[in-house]
Amino acid sequence: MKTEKSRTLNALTSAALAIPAAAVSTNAIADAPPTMTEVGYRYSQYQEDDIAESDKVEDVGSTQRYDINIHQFRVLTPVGDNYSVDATFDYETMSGASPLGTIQGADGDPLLVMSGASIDDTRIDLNVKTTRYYENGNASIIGGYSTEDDYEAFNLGLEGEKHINDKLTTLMGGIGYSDDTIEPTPAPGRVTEEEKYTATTFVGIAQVINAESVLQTSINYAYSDGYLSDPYKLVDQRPDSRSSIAWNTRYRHYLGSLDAAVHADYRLYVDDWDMVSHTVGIEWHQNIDPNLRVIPSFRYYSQSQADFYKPIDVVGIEGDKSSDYRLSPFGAVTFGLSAVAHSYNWKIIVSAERYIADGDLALGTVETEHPGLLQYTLLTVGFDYAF
Amino acid sequence: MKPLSRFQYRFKAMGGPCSVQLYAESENEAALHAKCAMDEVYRLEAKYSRYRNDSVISEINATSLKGGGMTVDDETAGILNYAATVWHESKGLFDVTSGVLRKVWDFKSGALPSQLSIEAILPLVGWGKLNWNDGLLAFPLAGIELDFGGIVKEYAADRAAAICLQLGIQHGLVELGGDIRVIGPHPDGSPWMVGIRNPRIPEQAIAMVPLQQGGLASSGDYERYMIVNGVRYSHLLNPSTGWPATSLASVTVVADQCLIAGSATTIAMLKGEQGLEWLESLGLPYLAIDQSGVHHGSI
Repeated sequence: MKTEKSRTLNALTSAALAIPAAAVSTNAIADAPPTMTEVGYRYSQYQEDDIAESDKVEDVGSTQRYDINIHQFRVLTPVGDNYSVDATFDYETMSGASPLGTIQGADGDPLLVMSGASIDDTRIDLNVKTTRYYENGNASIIGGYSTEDDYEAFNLGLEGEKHINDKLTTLMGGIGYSDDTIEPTPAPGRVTEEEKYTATTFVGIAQVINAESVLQTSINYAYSDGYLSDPYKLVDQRPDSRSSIAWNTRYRHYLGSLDAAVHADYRLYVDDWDMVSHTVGIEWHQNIDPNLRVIPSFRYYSQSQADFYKPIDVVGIEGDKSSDYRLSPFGAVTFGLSAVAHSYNWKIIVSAERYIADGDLALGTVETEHPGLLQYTLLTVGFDYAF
Repeated sequence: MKPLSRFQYRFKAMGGPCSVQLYAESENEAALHAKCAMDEVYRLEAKYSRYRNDSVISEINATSLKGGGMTVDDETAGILNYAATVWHESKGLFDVTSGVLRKVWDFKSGALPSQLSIEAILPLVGWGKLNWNDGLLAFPLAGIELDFGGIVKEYAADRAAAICLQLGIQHGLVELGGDIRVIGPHPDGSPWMVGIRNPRIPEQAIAMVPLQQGGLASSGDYERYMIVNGVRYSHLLNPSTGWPATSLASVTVVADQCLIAGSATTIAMLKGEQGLEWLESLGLPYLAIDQSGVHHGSI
């Protein structure tokens, strides 16, 4: 009896296996371009907190810092069998005031000299990346153009990825070049037109450790030459070159039991302006539902000052000097929360981020905290749609 | 390259809720691969739907109405060969021509068809009444209708999973209205846990079945039925009598292919009193629940 029915199973199995399925493209086994066109839109509102009245020179300039509205459009589309084009277009409008410099206050601490709240600018940024896909890798050429009222930049880049070791290891590398021109709003004593050039290169490796985790590390080198100062600052003179090295390490781990993934990142940055910074980031990607993901995130940042940084502007001394808060020593934390709802051909994203910089958050002791350190809120909504 | 995350895509096809779950490095990759799997399901649905005039099944049934014969494509030929095999192996119980009985059995009406109306339609039931040879399908008797229900949905689950595998997906699960085909286990090697419906409270799971690979299908008298004078009449109709099979409440079978699992559950349900014995001898893991709620089988 048993053998007869096992014969039934054999007969059914043979007949089932003999059904010749219509041929299906297995293109995606190789490194392949996307099969659908994807369009996306993001709207972001970036808002810096106001400067405390007590941190600025009384009755000079505005307490209101930058508000930026960013519209980002993206199209990613396959072209032919082996190419894709990924284009992003950003349109930003910004308004607000920025620190022009610092003077010494009555208590010896620096006070900000703020600009009037009249700064209004529009930035347009277009980036196009064309990628050629090969059996075990891809190569891209990148071109970009960016313009503001007083600024124009072109950039070009080449990058590639090569998968080896049964696609468990990916080698990556790239080079880039940009040419930036600044033509500041005319003012007595201000430069009229300056340029800088930046060359970058990076190499990296990503390794699949097991089905749940991947480690990626890369080294980036950048060299800038030309006018690196801020023409709007009252006193600002920086070296005419800057070399930097950044080491990025990213770890991704999927926790099957929790249906969640941890993303942990570390970045070390050093440059020949004597600046060293550390960034540690952690994101928790939690699937609430297979179509809904919630991502709380936290980032810690700390930097040392540039060697020519002066908390208080001094006029008339020789050599490099700057009181830019971005060159001052400080630490910062960023808290983020985002939610992504998706189906096979659409995605909706909502995210919020809060950034707080403070001298006390730095790894070392900050003797004089810059009064212009940033706090900002960034809200983003957007969608992607594929067809 | 990024680590694998789990993504699920729900969609409607083959007359019911469906989903593709898979692990991929990115949402983009998951979405693209899921779409390929879904496209395959939609392709088969369009090709074998009774409700579409341009489907292969409609073309076959139109030919049957006129009488005569036709040639079919290779995939359809493969399915017809399978239908012939399953008919033969089930001793005529699993019959792709029995769908026509639906015309007299209206489970929404709550009323039993008359024996006369059943007898009037039975002459149109019977795989043995048509000729299937070497890719040529002939209908000596006009009006026989083919219905690949019980085959195409299960086959589509197998195909969708096969496509994901071809595309490089190693971990995932395809579910088409309760018929399941595993692409591969979770990345840590653990099996998918599949809930088996309680045949008397279908929204509740009565058992969880670990499924590492292969397919799983269930069939039960709870899917479409009516109760008349306290007797349950299910949609599982015996092609020789035209009346519903009565014996087991539900059967779940695990097999290498969802198609095999689906055929085995249908045959076991239609076997009536011999269903359990037949399942036992088939040699596949199964869970059968009889009318008194007793569980049988190796799952």
